[in-house]
Amino acid sequence: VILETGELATYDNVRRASWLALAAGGDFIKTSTGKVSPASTLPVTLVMLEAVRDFAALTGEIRGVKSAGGIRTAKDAIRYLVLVHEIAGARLAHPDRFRFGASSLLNDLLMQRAKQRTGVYWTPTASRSTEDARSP
Amino acid sequence: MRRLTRGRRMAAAVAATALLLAACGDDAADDTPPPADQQPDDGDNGDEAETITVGAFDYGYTDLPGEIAAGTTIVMRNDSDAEVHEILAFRLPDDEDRPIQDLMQLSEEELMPLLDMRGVALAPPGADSTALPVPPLTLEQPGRYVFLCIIPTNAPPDEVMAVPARPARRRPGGRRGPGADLATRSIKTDGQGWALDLAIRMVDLTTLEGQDTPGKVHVAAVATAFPSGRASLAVKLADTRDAVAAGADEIDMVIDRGAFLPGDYGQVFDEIVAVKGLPAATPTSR
Repeated sequence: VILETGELATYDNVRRASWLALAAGGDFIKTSTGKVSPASTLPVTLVMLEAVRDFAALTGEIRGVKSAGGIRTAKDAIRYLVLVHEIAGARLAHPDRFRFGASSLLNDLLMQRAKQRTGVYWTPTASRSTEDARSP
Repeated sequence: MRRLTRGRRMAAAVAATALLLAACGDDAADDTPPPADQQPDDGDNGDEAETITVGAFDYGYTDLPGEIAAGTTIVMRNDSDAEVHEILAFRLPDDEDRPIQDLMQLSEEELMPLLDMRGVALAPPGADSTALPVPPLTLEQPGRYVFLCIIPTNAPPDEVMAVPARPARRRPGGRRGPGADLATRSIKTDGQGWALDLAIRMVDLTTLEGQDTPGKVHVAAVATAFPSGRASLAVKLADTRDAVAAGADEIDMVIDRGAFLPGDYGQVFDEIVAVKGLPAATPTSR
């Protein structure tokens, strides 16, 4: 269930919408469609994670969170992971329970991983030209 | 996953002393008299900051004077050929006058509150502590100091050296929320690789654009009047049925902000229940 947190204006609303979606049976609560800015932010994700954590404490059911939009770099992603782990614990830090909806993120993640292995991060020009090559 | 700061390593190391660590320097040093009115003696003779070099080898330091002038910088030279050595300089309280031998007999709980860490010098085998990008160990305040070396003896030197050698970061005061560390915490190679892999597995490749093709992973479909969420329930349900019939494993539904924001929570709730409750291939509303 997408909450479109960018339009909810307050954290209270995010919490309320999260709770509503969880109570109504949504398996995942997701920050945004990607069509509205701001998309996912750390604080909004924190509120949603707390809702999932509290819901699990109340009912024993563990639901998922999906942060979508605005997460572009591996460093951002790691910040989210730390948040997930610190707020909701290790059981939520799993691909079945927490997901990134961010296709542009994947590139940087793979590049950073490659950099760890090879010591080289592709230059912006190199990566841009592959993107160009891929798009019609 | 190695992401230990100096502070944590200290704690871990001291806690495990009996098991795997050797305290290699148990010597007292630096017996400058405590009184505060006896400030820097290098002020009157115009001496610039002095530097002394101290040797370190198994279980001891060499060339360590009993007394040095305030403001002296200490460089440590590691004379061993296989082990990392360090100096952790702690200042003892002014009213602490027991000899060092007695202090070393204290339990960890008794000893740690007495120790106020003022600096560190660290060197790999055969090098001295100026080789590392660590702030120099300069002792400014007169008093009695203890030098300790707390290095795991069962870890290879390069692993030990990989631990960031900097004093524990002082928190700027006030309690910090759980999110405050996120931007500053440093995650080292192993942990970083693990986290990156996890993040890669967490990425959903759906872009919610028209170009997503079935057959890649599983099919997620958006239904329910995406992205506004504004349509009648009947339209949304028909949408969802179509998507499921076309092979969608997941349904991305958007809540109707037009109903939510004015507080019409019942309607939002009912819609989610209705979409979720549709029969078919047990779509999960993600």
